[in-house]
Amino acid sequence: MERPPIEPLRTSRKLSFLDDQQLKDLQEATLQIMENTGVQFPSDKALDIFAEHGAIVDRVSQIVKIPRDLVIRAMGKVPRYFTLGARNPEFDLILQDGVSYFTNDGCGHNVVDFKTGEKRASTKKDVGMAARINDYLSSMAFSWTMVSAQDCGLTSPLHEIDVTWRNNTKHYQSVTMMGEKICRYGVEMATVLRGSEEELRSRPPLSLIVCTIAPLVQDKEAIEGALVLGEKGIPIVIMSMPTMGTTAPATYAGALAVGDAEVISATVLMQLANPGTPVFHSIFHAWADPRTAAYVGYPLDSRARYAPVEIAHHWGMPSLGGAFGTEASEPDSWRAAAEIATDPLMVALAGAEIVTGIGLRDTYTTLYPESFILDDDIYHSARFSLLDMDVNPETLAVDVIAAVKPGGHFLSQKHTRKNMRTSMVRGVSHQLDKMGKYRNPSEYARERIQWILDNHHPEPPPEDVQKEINTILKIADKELKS
Amino acid sequence: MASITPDLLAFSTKNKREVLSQEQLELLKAGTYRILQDVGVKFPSKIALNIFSDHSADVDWDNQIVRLSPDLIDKALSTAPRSFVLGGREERFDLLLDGNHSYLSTDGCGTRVIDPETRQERSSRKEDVARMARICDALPLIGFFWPLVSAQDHGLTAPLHECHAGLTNTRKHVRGGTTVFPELAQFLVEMATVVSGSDEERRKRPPICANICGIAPLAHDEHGIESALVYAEAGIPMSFMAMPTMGSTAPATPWGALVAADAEVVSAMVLIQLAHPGAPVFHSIEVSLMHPRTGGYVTSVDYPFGRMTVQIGHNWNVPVLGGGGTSSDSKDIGWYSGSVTGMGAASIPAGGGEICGYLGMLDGSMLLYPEQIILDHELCYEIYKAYQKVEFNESDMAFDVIQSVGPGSHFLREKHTRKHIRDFPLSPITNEIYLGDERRPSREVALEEFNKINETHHPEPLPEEKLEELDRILAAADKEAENLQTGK
Repeated sequence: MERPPIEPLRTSRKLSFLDDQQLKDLQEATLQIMENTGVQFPSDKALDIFAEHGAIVDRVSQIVKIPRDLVIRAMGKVPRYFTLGARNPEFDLILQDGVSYFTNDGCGHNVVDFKTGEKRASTKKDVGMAARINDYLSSMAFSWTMVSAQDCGLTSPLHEIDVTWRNNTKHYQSVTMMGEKICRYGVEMATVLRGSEEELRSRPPLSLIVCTIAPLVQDKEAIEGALVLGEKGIPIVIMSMPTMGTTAPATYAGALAVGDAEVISATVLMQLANPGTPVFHSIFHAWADPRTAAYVGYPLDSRARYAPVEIAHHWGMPSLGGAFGTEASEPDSWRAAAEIATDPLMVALAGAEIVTGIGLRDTYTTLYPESFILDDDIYHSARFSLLDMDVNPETLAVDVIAAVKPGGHFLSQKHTRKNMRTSMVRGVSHQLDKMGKYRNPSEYARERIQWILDNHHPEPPPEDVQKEINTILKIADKELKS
Repeated sequence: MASITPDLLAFSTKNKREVLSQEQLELLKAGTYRILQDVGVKFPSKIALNIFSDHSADVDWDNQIVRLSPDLIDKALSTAPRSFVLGGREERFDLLLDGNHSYLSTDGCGTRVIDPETRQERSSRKEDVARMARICDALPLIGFFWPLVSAQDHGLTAPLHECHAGLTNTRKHVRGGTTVFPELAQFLVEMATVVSGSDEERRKRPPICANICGIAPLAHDEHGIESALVYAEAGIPMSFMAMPTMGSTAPATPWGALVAADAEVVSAMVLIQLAHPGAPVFHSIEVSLMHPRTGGYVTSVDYPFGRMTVQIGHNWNVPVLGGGGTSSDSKDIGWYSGSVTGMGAASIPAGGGEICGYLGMLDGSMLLYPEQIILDHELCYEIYKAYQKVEFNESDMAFDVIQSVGPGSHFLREKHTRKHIRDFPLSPITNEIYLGDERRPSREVALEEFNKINETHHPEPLPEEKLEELDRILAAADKEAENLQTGK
């Protein structure tokens, strides 16, 4: 069946929140933190790489201090643009200025079951369902691990890859793969899918996001897994999530400096180990509620929300920006809509190359399948607002206006009949019931999900490829679960 | 003791993002010239037709249609000021329409209200206008008070009572003028003069402005256009607003709707400049769509009309009422209204219109839920803050603190944290909404905020003698209206 093409947000216009001097000051802060305070790398492998390249390595505390010359030399190797390959070549994403590719949110652990309405832990089947919905929607340029396959134990990241590829033909970015062993299996699966190591390197169908631990610590499993992917030229996202007041200073600049130092120190490691490894920069800063210590993603004053995108570009790196997040726990409340709707326009204007966030609720933890459709609607609203205009005699319709004359109407004009139905792009909020009244958007969204699940069945990987992937999975289960 | 009205907050337009190229704007302008020259616009007013005729426009007296040459249009509009002031009760509430700031307006003008006490829907009344003026007085982002609903308990003089309710309940600028019987327009001017204190002050810092709507396609209202001439003579600024509906009163293509609307607005601005050169006017277009299946009125169309209309108005070198807006067709507060408010608020900085926002209404600007203005304002405030420039210095980067905490620890016990953790305000509407462990709906919290402002915010009133004078003017206007109705 026909699948809509990917429709990324495109704009030649740019927003900036920081001036050149501020960007320099922040970069200087990052360099100073890396040089004087250092970052902890609890991995002998990482420490060895740093030591070999002249960084100051304290083996006892596992803290690495990186001289600025070494940082600058390593950062010179990071590619500014590259390609994220897809199973279907039509969906390969070529990173470029002025284009933002979006995907769903991740990685939640709760699902509100589409049939029973019961809230429960997410499973491999849910990952497949989310991947299938993602595959159909034009707002989704690639796929993220939306929820985790909690029924698959230690090898769940590999099962998430498997079920995603069986249900989705776009690029897949894993949010959960960690550790050298798991990542080697992941690379093996990607190599099988692509057919050769060379193809894997030129059009990687898989990438990985790894998170740091604020303040100034890398995770052993995350960093060693990323190094495995780096060997094969598979793209990595390094994401820092500093929370002001708990894991970061309670000032915005201080939090950005800590977050940036975490991202850049990991990026330097990737470049020292495998020069030219494609890396995305990402900082998702948040606030600690001073009264409850709760995680707050959207306070009243979240000024310069997308300054991290500029920081990434200042380092010459592509950026992953987060949008669409909401702390609302309901799928379709005013608050969910309002918080979600403020972001996509801003993140696109800020120029983030890839953007995540569609479809989860309750601070990235809960999946209501219908939220996909509700958020997709907001996405397209932002996309339309950035589209170029088409002005020509047909659209200007001066002759039609002359024929109608002052005080007339356009109901009987051929021009009206021709254009009337394309003038209005009917969103989820404009669906009519039998009485001509607007329907409940959520109810309509559920129908759309049901339709996609009933009708959209993306072509799975070729049988022989799937067979080989199944074998890898079996071996991995045996080795890692025993 | 009177409440203090907070200082105004205005969006900067430095983040304005154009949608149209200059070439496209000129193409549209050429279309407007062509319509005005070849098709013409209907002015069902002898006063207006005489003015056009005196200035050599092509006047078809039988059909009341005026055709304007590009030369006459350009000559007339050359006297329209690019920048002027809309006055507040104090100078700190003045709005300088110069293209550098976007001031937020309320939406208007609806006919139905969810009563704040009974929560039942009913027709709007003057007391609703007065209440909303007080509420808006307390909201720092609202600089331009447009009566959100009409004073339907006052018959023909409803617009004068709306103006009165605005002027006596907020210290901000009031969109007090609209289409009325021309005989009543002078009373509005007198009310403005009383508030200003003199003719001179009224011209310099007019406390009210007017909005006059055209009748799409390409026609004006007799009373509207003659009221406008009264306002212009008194130096009261006015926006001409075209409201084309694609498919019924305008072509079914966005560009066709815009060019027809532009012709309507420009023809009225030309008339005003011919009659009163230099009179402050601003440009406004609100495009809607006829629902293809029901014929219903759809205002939330996925198209960047707001940003386009700002560019079109500015291309005529006049200020604009338009840009990003939070108003939706939703009949209740929920997903639909929230998504439109969020997207609308986010597009305000990119729009760059001098007056925009349209806060507070639902159901295609017809229905007022009290709490809606609080929700809209909250979202706009979040966007306002998100676009603020970050200022920081070396101490904000907290090197010493980071070094002392080091990798893997936490910042909870640091003095620096205690000093700064409250620097980031949390939204009383969307962040602090817990009751025990339960999240409270934003609208419930917003209604509480509304009620709190309603009970506690009472801005400093006008001096007693001015209030009495306004009452006398209203009584005279009511009498005149009675005469108009009885044909005396």
